[in-house]
Amino acid sequence: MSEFSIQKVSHHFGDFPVLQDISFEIEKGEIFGIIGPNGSGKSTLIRAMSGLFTPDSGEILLEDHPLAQFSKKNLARRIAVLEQEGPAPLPFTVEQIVGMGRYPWLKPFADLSAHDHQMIENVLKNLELWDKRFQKVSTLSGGQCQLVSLARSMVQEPDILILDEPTTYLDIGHQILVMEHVRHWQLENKLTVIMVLHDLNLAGQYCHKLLLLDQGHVKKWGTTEEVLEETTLTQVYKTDLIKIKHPTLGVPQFLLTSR
Amino acid sequence: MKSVPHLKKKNLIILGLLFLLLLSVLLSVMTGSVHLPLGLTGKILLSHLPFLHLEPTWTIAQATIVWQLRLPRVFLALLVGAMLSSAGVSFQGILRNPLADPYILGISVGAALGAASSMIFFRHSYLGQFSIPLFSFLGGLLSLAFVLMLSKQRGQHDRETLILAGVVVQSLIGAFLSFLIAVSGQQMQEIVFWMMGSLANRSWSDVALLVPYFIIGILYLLLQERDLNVISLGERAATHLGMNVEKKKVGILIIGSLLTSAAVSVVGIIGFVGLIVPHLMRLVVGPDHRILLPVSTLAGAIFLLWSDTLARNLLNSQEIPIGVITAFVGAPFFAYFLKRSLRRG
Amino acid sequence: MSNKLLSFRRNTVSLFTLITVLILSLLTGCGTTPANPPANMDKAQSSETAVHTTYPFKITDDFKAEVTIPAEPKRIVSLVPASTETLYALGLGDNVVGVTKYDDYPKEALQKAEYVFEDSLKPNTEQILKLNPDLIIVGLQDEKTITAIRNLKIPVVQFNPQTLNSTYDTLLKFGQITNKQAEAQKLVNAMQQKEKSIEQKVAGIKDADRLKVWIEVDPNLFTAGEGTFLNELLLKAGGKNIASDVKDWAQYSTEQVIAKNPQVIFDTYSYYLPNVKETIFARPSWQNLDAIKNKRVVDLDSDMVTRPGPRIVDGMESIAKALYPDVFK
Repeated sequence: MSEFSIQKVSHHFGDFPVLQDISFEIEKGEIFGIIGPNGSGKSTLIRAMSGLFTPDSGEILLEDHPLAQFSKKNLARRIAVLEQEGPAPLPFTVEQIVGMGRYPWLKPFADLSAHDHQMIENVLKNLELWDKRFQKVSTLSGGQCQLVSLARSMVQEPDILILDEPTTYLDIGHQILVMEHVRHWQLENKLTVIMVLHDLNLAGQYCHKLLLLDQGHVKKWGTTEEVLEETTLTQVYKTDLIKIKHPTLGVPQFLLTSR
Repeated sequence: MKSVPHLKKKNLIILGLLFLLLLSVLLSVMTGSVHLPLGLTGKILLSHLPFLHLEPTWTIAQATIVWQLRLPRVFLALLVGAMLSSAGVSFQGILRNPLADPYILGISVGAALGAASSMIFFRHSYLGQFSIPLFSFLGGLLSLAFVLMLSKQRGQHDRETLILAGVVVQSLIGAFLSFLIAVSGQQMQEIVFWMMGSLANRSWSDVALLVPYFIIGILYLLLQERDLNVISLGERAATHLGMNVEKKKVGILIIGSLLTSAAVSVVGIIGFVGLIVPHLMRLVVGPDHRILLPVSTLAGAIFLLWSDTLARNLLNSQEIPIGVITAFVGAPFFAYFLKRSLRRG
Repeated sequence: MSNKLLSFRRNTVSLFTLITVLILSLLTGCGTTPANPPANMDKAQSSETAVHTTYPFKITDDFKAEVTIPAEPKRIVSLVPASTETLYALGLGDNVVGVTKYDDYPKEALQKAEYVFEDSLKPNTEQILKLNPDLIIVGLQDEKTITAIRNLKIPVVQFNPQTLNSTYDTLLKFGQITNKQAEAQKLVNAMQQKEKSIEQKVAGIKDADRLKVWIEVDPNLFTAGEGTFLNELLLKAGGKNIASDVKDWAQYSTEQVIAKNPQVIFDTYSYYLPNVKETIFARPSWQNLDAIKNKRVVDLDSDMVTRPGPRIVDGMESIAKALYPDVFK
């Protein structure tokens, strides 16, 4: 039984077909990347998979049950979503924001328990945010904000982590930092990670499987090696790419070529 | 693990505000256009306690002034201030807009239209003195209903659409109201006066009218504190954390509107309280609704009590419209705190 | 001629002369001298011979405007309800061609007029011109409006008496302006007579028995304080005004009314708001007032007690009757 099963999913925005007959599977414990050019439907697909809306046709199954059957709360206990923008620049403290991640587990009007506080502490220390815990999120840098969001997701204790272009607004140092934390967490807790990425190189370094979308269609789906193929990518992204092998890691990487 | 530092701070602030509230009540009851000696007022108040037996050294008129005129007005000011500012907090939280106030969805014009209609068309109704509050209450809720209907899109109420719908409804109803006022003739003065907001000549029955709404509304909102915090992360994030955002949004909007409509139906449209007090408290105690909501509620009560006390005492025997006072008092306060928070960065 | 014939002729002539003198004296005696000549009769002709006005007639109105009336007015526009009442009382009903919609006494004023002005505060000047009047009477319209009306080059007089005596003056002035001096004098005499009789009856009421009154002219507790017309009427009718500590039209607070504990409450606004008495009776904090406990809340006919015209003393009488029904049966 695969964790996620997407079967013939299609969706329209008005007349415009955003997703067309998409089918694939995600196994438990995989780091699954979704790549494709702008407008290929990546974000829409991820939003459907996180339960934000029901697509016009097709089925999304989570652990063999239709996604729509899960209550919002149940879904939140299984899936954590990391958006690309990070938290709004609110005057809440790091600790308070991270604490909100426990929301799906709290009884209706209860407050955070000792166990919750312990978990928050562990996560903050893990991500080296402990000394910043009383700082207001509005005073943090983009990279630190993303770490706070990640911490919030971790505290949510999900089985599945969905990341929607998590590194877009980060400098290269923080990009690696965030990805390392994700991978470390994934290994420790056997998480299933689904990532929408536009950086092919990060995809190559971190993902086990990839889904390549092009204008709402599935162009290719399979292992990283299979999907990251020079001619297909050049065709889909409409730009010259040169595939190389990473000198130390051996994974496929791509060089952009200016004209 | 016992109380976290910020919770201790919360209890301290609330205690301080409660003390200030009590003090304000005493001071307000002791002032008025007819001078009553301090000790006498105190005795009149105490005489209503069941176990105390005091010899009446005061006249019936004096007792009436304290007990039938000043005290109900004090309680009314506390209630209305609390209701408007807690509604303001909830609207600002749910719409994620610190400039939102309880009237943003057009409730005030709807209530005004209801009141005006009552004054013009239903004068002789057997409801008597409850006619105006009832109609204005219904008018306020009708506005909300229109706004919700107008902004519904695929089962969702997007917050920008809500605000825009509020603007539309406000303009439409406002135009109708202006027309009514223009052709109302004799009632014009009465309607305009009502709209300016006033606590004058209200009695215990008006207080009694508001108490159930206050209790229901405040209890509900206090239970939403945590949810209001989570909503500030954004609606998508809140959904991902398991909240039924639509249901929460509509629920809080309805309860906030209930509080507002009820308050407006009894005292007319008093501005500033629902916008400035929550905003001010946000600058002082921060965005955590678990502190912000109770603090704003108490602060709103105290603020309106002081405004009304000034409104009825500044000029001898003549009343200043309370909206003028709330603006004059609220604005400088707010400016000071705004400057201070900007300096802190 | 015989002596008998001479004495008969002498007697007849004397008789004739006597009769002629008698008739002449009767005719001249028609202009009766008023018992109390009113003060401030501007350029008035002496009372014994002033029966008819001679035109052109010059008069200074209440607002210091010097107006010349060229001829006896036949087409009068009255923009003041009190003036309309006065004109009708002087028998000039057929000459009132324009009135405002508030001129409801006598009833036929609204029907007889050729035009009824909807907006009494800013009457349509074109419409005034259309009526082709030879006299316009204004009152409390604003300065701009009155200036505009005066610019129509038609005689405009502005009156606003706010005491009984000045009301009598104004009525007599009306008589002069319209050549109805005899009628005006008769009217004023009757009013003064009534006033006197009320005063005499009031004099018999001891000070301690005089009732404390709260006059409410507006539901927001506006009252007629010291120096107002209503106040004068009330005092002359034997009442005491609890709001004597404020001047003119002032606002009282509920606390002040309760502290003063009035024995009678008058309201003057039941003509435009319904159920005024019931509303006042229902006020929760007022329940302990003497006036409420003894059920002495009275709707006053606002027109009768505020229009400075022929019915003002009737208004005063209505106040006296309301206060002391036993004395004023």
